[in-house]
Amino acid sequence: MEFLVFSLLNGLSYGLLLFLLSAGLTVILSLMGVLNFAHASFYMLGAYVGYSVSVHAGYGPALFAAPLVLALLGAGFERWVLRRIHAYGHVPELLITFGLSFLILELVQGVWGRTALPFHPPEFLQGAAFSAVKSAANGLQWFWGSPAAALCQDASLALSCWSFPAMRAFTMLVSAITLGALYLVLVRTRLGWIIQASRTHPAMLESLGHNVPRLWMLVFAAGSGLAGLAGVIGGSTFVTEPAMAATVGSVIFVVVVVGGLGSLMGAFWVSLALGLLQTLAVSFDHSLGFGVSLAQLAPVLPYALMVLVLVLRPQGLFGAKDL
Amino acid sequence: MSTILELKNVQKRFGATEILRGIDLSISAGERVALIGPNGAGKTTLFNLVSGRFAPSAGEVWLKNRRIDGKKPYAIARLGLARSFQATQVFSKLTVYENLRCSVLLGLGYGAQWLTSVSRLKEVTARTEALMEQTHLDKQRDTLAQALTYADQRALELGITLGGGADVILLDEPTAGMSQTETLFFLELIKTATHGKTLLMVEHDMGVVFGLADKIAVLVEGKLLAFDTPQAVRANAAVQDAYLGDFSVSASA
Amino acid sequence: MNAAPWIAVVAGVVLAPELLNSTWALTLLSQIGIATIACLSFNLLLGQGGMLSFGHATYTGLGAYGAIHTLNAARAAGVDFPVSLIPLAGGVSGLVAASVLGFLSSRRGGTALAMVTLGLAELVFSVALMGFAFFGGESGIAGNRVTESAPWGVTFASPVEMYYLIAAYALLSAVALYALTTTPWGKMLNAVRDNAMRVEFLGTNPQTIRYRAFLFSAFFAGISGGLAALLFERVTPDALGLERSASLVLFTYLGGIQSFIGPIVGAVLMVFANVGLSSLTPAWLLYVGLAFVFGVMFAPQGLTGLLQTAMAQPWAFYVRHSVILLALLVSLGVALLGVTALVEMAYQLQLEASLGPNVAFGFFGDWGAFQLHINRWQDWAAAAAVAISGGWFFLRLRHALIVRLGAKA
Repeated sequence: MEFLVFSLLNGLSYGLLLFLLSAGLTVILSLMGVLNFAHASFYMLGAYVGYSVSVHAGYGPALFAAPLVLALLGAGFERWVLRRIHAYGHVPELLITFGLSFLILELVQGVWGRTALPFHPPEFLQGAAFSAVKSAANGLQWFWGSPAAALCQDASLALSCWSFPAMRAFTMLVSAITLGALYLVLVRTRLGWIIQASRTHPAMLESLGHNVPRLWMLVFAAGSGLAGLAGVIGGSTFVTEPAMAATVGSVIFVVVVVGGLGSLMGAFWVSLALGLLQTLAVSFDHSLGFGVSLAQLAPVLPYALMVLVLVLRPQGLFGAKDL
Repeated sequence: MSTILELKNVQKRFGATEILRGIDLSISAGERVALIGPNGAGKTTLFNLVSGRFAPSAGEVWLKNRRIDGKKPYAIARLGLARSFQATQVFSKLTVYENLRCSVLLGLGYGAQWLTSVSRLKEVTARTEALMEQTHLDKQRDTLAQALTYADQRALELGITLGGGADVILLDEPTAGMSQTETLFFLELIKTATHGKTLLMVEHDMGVVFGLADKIAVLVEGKLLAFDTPQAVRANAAVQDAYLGDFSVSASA
Repeated sequence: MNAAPWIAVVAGVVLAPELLNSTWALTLLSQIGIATIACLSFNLLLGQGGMLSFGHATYTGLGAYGAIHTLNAARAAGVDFPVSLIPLAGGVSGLVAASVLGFLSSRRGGTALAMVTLGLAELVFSVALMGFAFFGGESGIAGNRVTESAPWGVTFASPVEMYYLIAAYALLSAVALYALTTTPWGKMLNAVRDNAMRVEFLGTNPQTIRYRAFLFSAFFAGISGGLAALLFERVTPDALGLERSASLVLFTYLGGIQSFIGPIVGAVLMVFANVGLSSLTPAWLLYVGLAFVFGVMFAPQGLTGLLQTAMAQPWAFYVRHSVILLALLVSLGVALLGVTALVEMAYQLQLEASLGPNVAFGFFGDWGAFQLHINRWQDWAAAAAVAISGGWFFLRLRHALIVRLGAKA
């Protein structure tokens, strides 16, 4: 049972991180009609920038600096590149964001190298948030932090030890706060209403006096900043290496397709589902026959889900019928 | 005269908004019908329903004694119904010739054929040339569609609609945004090009309406107020009420 | 149609081994031939159909695997299957793959199609990495193309024979793909590219047209893969990878997607970048990326389009605007120099441990050679200044030229 609890928590934290990342992508897509292929690259750049800042100034500053840098980069890209391309059509837009992702990958490898970087969370987040120890003598016991080392190493004292990493808890906290703030802004503030209106009636909004292009730049910057934040967290929780963009990029594309292009609710549910699915698949390492184990299948699962949805319901689970 | 296009109690709702509230319309083969009404009355929605863009919320649409509501646009087009669009929908990066050839190809059933070169299909070439002359676009044969003037683009739009050889033609505001001379030219063009065919046309220009239509259907707030000859509609009190002052017939009509 | 250029091309292709008498050149040409088929098949989707597929390597890769398995299976069974027909087995493999994957990809167009193709490519690639015998794991599947029975004395052991096989397939594929663009279906594909909705109302389902494009495209992609399998006598899962797909997108676009020969130019660029540029500098992929981004922004017609526009201008144009054009070229050169200096120095930072702190620049050997020291901030500043000023002048001159041309027109 405790195995399930900890696996669920792990899956949930990964799922929330995925949503943090795919929310930005979804808002940009539904607002500007642009699918930002470089979104996952912004995630990666956030991790790398966060690493460099944390090495020189500490983790806290990194948490603020990386999103800021990425927001500025996003704003600049939208203002000077994307806006020009927008007039050419959909395919050039896709191509330019694709080209940007390619560029960022090469730049990152050139500047920071091709091997994984030792980006670790700060000291106080490195242990476990809480743990559970099952022993023959005392049954199931819950602890804050990590259990005493001696307790877990001795098989006669403890049958099984589970711990939920503090960093993962931190991830959940930051994701929840950020997303909550995002929701409040979109639904409760005037700016949010203007943004929602510009999704469907940009011309009307402009004739009312709102600077829609500047709005788009703001939204793109915000989305990129979110990606940068997710990058700092993800990079320090999991791994910081050049392949991280491709890995997470594929998953968030599945999220967006399965959830429905442009649907935030869809992105939310699918992110959580995928986070849980992938984590549980790796944890439940059963053999499925054909010399294939569930853990081996884990990376394939998101794409398999995507194909299934495409066959049965091409507009995604929450998407609009004709896009 | 046989009924070629029939709408039976057609309704269309978008969420809570009712656009069409039960339309009964029966058009005979060879008739020329003008569909008039204020903006927002549901004229384009009606067109979309008939041409298959979406299905009605209730009711039936019959074309040549076959039920077509709910069918896909290409299935309906193959049954011999063609429509034009209010916002010009042409193939912007293709030339005028290539644009027209596309509809001719589909009309003759060559659409998916991949074994012969187009230049070998004499009938296609002949029909496309004829179409170009008919729409007076032969001088612009190699101009890209996106480089045409507005009026020429509308002519191209009309040409594409007619190129497939359909016998039921739906035209959505074909003369919108045109000058007097252009409108007159278009009127003649539509008359000759749709000779012998069934025509349902949305129009705001009363000169065009009275110069072309055998019957007028008046659509107001999702209901048909009248469907009768132009003289009868002009005298209809209810129509006059809804359209006070809108009957500005130009001298040349 | 003017036959002279075609005859010249065929003559060039046939005579190439005589004129270039080195194995290295032949290998290069062979690779160009394979890349040509791949890029041409890709452009059937992108240039002709407006379909941005990020998973084209799935078809070239599956074609390669199909081909090499056919080769090995025939050998094992003692069947004398002609090696020259193996690429067709690759083509059929691609076709079979597209019958399923292409169907899923063609349901919608535009952005949705791009994502679907990407997702499917990821799916196939991750399955290939799972370790099934079909894909052979990391080391892939090996084969031997040299035949024992030698019909007309051809064993395919020598590079020349392999070159002619590739050249033959490349020419035939190019002709076939060109012919396809002249058919009714090819014209409807162009129409779907420009306005799929209109096509639907004219009487045919755009999805059927797109699906067929995937089928044709995958067939030729499979042939390309099959030829690669024969040339290298080994197929690894990389052949299905995302880098390969990305490469096809990048270079086909750089070559020019709006003309038929654009992809051929792109194929040449691809091979030269992979073989030549990669040995000149570790930053070669970055340069390709930069070229691509600037291409999308300033030259959407690709290299072929630029050349066609340039050649379409009368001499008078060049005479009249000679000063501004020259200044444009110079500023571009200066900007490139600055950017290259910055990039090379940045990369050298990573490689300092092994290669030392100096970046050597030389033009055509030692002419105008100079060195940049990565630890000297002055060198960085100088490079940045050169890059920025060159770029600024280039943009301003370009703007001025556009204004001038607009005023004349």
